[in-house]
Amino acid sequence: MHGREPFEMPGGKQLAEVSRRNRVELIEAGLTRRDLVKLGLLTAGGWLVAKLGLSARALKGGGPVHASPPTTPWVEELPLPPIVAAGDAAALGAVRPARAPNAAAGEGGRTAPHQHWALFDPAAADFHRIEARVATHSWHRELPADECWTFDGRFPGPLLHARRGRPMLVRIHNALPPLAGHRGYGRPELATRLVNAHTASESDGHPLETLRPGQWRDHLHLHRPAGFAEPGSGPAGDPREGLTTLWYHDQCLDFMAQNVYRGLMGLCCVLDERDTGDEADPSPTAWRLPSGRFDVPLVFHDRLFDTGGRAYFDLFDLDGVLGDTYTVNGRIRPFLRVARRKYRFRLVNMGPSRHLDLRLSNGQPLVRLSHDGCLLARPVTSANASLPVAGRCDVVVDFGRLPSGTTLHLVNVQEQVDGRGPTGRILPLGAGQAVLRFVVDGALETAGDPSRIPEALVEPPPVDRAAAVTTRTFELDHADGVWTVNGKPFDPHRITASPRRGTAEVWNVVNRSRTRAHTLHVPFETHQVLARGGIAPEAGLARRADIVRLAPGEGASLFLRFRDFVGRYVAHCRDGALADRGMLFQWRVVP
Amino acid sequence: MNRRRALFWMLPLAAAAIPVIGRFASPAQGRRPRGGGAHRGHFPNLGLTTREGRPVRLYDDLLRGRTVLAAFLDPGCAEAACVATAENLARLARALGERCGRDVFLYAFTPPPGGGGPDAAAGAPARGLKPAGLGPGWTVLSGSGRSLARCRASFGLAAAAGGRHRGSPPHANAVVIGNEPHERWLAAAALTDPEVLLEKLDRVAGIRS
Repeated sequence: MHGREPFEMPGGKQLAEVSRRNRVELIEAGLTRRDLVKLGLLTAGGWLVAKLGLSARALKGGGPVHASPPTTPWVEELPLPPIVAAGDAAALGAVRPARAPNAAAGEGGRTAPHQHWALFDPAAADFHRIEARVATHSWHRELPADECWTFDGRFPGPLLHARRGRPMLVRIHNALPPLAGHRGYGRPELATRLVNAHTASESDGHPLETLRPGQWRDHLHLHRPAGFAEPGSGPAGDPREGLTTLWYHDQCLDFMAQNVYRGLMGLCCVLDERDTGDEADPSPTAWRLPSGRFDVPLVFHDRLFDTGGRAYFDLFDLDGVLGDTYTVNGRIRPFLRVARRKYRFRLVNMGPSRHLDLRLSNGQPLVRLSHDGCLLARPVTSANASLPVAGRCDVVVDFGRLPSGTTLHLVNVQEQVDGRGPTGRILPLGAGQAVLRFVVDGALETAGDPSRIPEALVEPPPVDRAAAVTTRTFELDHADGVWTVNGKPFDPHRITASPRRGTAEVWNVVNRSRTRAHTLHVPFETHQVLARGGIAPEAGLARRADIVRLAPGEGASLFLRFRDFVGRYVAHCRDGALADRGMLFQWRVVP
Repeated sequence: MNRRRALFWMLPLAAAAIPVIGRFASPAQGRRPRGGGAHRGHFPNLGLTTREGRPVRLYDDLLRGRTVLAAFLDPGCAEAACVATAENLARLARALGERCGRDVFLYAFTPPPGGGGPDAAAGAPARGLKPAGLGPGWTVLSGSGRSLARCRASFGLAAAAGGRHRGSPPHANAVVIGNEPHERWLAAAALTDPEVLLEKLDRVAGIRS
């Protein structure tokens, strides 16, 4: 064992130091965290070891040792982010939107004029003014109020409703404290991306184009499906490229994981003549999915709290950040009172590093509607909803057959013991972690259940493999604390690929890591998987996505199109901790 | 230390921790005065030795109140990747010029003497390729293998061990850049272009957006 080192120990830290030394020795001895699990010294949730002074998190870097304070589950009601009504241009204040960056009036971050400006008619557009600011937040009544960085003072941030084809201009003000006065994790400089939206580069929140405190920035989202400026689809775009549940978050270079963890995220739902947001809509095109208070976003986030009960981020964890406390919509293990009818849940896994496999505790199936914000060809009845980090899935759950007073839970059965990704084992339902409780309440007024689940949703556009003009390969790897793409660390001055606007390409993405999973997010247009491990998806299972999930050693071929806009984008690992350590690359759509 | 022995020691120590762990468990992320001290509870105050033979403590003498870049390498190693890393980091020091040791501190944690230690870091020859050395601007440090492993672990690199120097703690492909008083830290590849490393240092120091 280690001899005593010649240093002073701060008062009250001796035990922590002993535990830390033990961890280092275990690491030196070659024991991996998976070994510890096999030996029964570390449970899937890290709890046993946390109690013993060896949390899964602390195994990595010798950091302070603690587990989050215990809290009583199912006493907090699930908060529902209110839908923010869109305003007109006056909602923005005196400074009107302009095509060119308006630095003179305080606009920051944007470096290029808005593309397709002629499609933006202020009289037929939605306007939102969102302020990033510090706000107090309660994770649980048994913990003290915490300080979050939020959009408009709440976490999750405002829930926006957009309509397909109707431009939405979002002006984001940065009212966070100046960098010079800020201490602790996070960086108060913003680059906000509306994930999976088909957005021009200058509105996409490129990580290098940050908004400093005191500045504002206009993001123009046309919400036109891809193809609107290319031959073939017409000016409305290809309706098969339509989207549903999107989320927006900060992605400041090197600090994305920290800033999102601080609370800088929110949701945006896209509606159209099919998904109208009205379950009683008489229109023949309307699907009449559950709507209003029966359309509930669920944002899953696992966190770690310090012994004072405030959110804690491990700055010295270079391998993914795993919390020990589940939150949903910003509350620790809350409950939701549900009526005896159908609900639509919009599931979003904001990580930071935990993958989810969610099931209902009574074994009841879910009906999946979407994948990564893209509607499926048809609803799929399934036992589970699998959500990798940053994965999204809309599901319908029918509580109509359950007697009033029934309680059931949403349970995560994906085993994961560290930030490197799931073990691959699906736990028995009884051994999973209950994340959210549903309480069926027959007294809730519903006026019946007019909602329906349609037989068909959105057939993905066919893939024309022969249309691909280029095949590129991206190899994701890591070694010793560094992540690389094609063997190179991230260089903000390097453009890795330059596809031409209006073309299609095949991207072969290979996970060279032998030990950890990766989830690569490619923005701009959704892709379809041509093959995974050399095997094409089964007929009828084609779907669009903006994340490709790769197990260790796995490779996938993606079919992508690059339509309508030019400019630079970044693709990055959806685990922000890895993106902040170099697992990202830039590409530029060129004319 | 083999695996069985590690487990033998771990069990009683861990069991002893049960009754009192809650009292001592407290992460170091509260408000702290300027001048550093934020990470006193995180970094061990390890005893290390500079190339010049001066004893220093990791936290009090090297990290507290400073903006730093920590690299873990063997500048005496003749493997091509190590030579390239040393050359790259030497270029960074040249780009920083007089700022080294003034507003930015560059630390190279190197293997102990006999394992290509501080002397080699100065550019002593080794097998194969000619080692690059680090040149001026760097504070070259060494200590026992155990101290270096703990040092590395405290920067978050222990569990990430692997790659070309698996089992050899002093080597890392990453550098860790930190502003201790502001609790602002990030990691980057040691082979990142020196100009980009300089940008990151300035962003961490707070003098660049």
